[in-house]
Amino acid sequence: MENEKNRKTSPLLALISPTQFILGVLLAFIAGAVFLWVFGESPADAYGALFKGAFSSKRYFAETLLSTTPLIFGGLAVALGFRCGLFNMGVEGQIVLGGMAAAYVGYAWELPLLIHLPLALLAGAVAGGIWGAIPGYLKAKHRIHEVITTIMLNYIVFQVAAYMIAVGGPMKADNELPVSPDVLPTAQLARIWEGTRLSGGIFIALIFAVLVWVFLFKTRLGYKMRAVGLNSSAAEFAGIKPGRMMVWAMFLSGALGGLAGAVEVLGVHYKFYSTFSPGYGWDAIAVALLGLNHPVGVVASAFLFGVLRSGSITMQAIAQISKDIVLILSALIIFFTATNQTLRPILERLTLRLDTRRAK
Amino acid sequence: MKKNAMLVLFLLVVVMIMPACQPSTTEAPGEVQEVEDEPVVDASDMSFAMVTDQAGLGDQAFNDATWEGFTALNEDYGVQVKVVETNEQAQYVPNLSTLAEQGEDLIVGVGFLLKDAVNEVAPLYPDIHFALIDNFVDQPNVASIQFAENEGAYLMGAIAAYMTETGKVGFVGGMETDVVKKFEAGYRAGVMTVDPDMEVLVSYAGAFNDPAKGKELALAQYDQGADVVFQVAGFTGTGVIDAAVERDQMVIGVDRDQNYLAPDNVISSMMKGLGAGVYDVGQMIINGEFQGGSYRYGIKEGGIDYAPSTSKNVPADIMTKIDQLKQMIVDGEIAPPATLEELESFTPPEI
Repeated sequence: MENEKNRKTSPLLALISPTQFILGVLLAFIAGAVFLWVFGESPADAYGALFKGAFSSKRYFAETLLSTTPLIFGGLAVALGFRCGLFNMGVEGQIVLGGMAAAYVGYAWELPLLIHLPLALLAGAVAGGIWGAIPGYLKAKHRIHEVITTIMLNYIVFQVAAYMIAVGGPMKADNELPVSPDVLPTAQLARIWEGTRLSGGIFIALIFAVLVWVFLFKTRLGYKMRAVGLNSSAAEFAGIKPGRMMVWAMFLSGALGGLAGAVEVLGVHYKFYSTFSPGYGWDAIAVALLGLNHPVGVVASAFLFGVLRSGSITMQAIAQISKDIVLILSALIIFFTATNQTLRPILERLTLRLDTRRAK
Repeated sequence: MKKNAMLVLFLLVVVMIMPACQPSTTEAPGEVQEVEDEPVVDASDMSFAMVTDQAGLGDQAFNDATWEGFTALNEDYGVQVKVVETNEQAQYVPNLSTLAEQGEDLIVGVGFLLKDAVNEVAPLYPDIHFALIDNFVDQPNVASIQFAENEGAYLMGAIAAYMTETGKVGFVGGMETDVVKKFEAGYRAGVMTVDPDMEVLVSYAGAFNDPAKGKELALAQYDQGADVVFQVAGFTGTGVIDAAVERDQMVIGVDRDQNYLAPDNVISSMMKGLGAGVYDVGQMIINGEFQGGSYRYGIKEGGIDYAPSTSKNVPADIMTKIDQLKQMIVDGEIAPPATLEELESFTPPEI
């Protein structure tokens, strides 16, 4: 907290985080290029196909934004946990559970639009939130590490999800596919860009980014959570109950994960199937890390990951690079961007030097 | 300060990106015409693509068998062929539409799981031909290629029942879905035809891309006394074959002649003419006579059969009986059940 005062001394310091972000991304792409070159693929072709697939047509760009949406929610979920000193590894499970709950409310209940859609979204958020609050409670009350419990809870969700829509499962639609029935139109998020699959979910995600920012930095509860995250003993000494904050943080984090699933089901697929999330919850961890756990950073890095996701398909389709190379490349880029903290000391030293020079 | 700078930066990035996507937006995608309506079609100008299911290429079964149709089209007509492999169910739609956006001449969705995706994408690109394998989509630009797997599985059931020494046979399925259930029903009926009281162990792996699970399930069946296992599990099935080698027991393959995977253990395979089905559709497009609708392949149409390698491990007297059953199916004297409900009312023929 005292750092804040020092920071004001130099405007350059404000640029550290954005520079760290951009440099991390650049380094990642350079590392990817080296990797592609070593494996005998042309980096220019590959990256050309990647960006073509992410931006070159209306539908491609819509698909990019489509993958960005759940990544914003997921990234916010992880970031919110981090701010309270908690590592929510259960976002993937919360996404699946949120999607399941939203789908159920969406197809099983008949309600008018104005109630149905918000209720389905709420169901997703609450389901994810409860699933997140369990590890929060276990951490606060019994000191059981949340990394372990959130991962374990993921597997329970995955298996339940598979059962729900298997032959004879309670949510199985009356057809030959392993899916739930279609969500009723009153619970569907409208498509906002003609000829694409893009729904209003992207705006909900951006609104939530603002809400999380306000919550973390402008409300008392958010302040308390960050205090616990920075130093839970000091926070306790100051009269904050760290346990209660942890449960709340994990509930909210899980709720954001659940919303990601709900928006995905109600806005993209209009039905539930067990593997509707292609690992958004795992990418979300990297999104939060790259975004330095700040809502603005999360939105920016979610967009970058969205580009990677939609572009990776065209890398296969246009540049004819095999799926495995594409997967390794994405993993490599994710690794490099997520470890951009290594750049921070260098950048700080550099700023300091520039600063002292200027002072002279 | 810090926050403002981040915001400015993000806006900068957005502004930089926006113009990049502006010009192509005006192209009005979806109107990718100019391909058709030529009476003489030069096939080397054509491009056919396939979207795999989650197992992907190298599954030694379903996807590889379909890909054989593509390579044959490439060799015979010079058609350009490409493949996009799917990692996750959520990618079916983007994979299909990415290819459609490219203006492919034919896009094949490999597997019944792509039904919804094909149904969603095909109407958006009415000028592009689609084919779907193992399921039916009612769109004018979609050819649905379906097989009578129950007929082939019936023969496999009979082979298993004739070959077993323990009097117990097994079945390992991929996902528990109607297509795989169709195999199971046919298989059970085949076993029942040879010996109505024979026990059939059945397990499902829940995935087509999980060889470890397949192996575990098969080992369990062998350890329970089964000595022949029929696997209908895509890439998961390679694990089943592994288990057969490990226990030195018999196993029956699927989709392609899988004997080369374990020459002493794979006693037969149910051949599914996936490549031939794709080849037929491809030919129609090359000749400019594509028609949407249902294309069904059974034993009679030559789309389903037992593998040629079967005679290596199965004695001649059993082969004669299998050929008899095969003929009876062709003649319509036996109608192997396609669902477990139909199996209940199935009365085995006298042989």
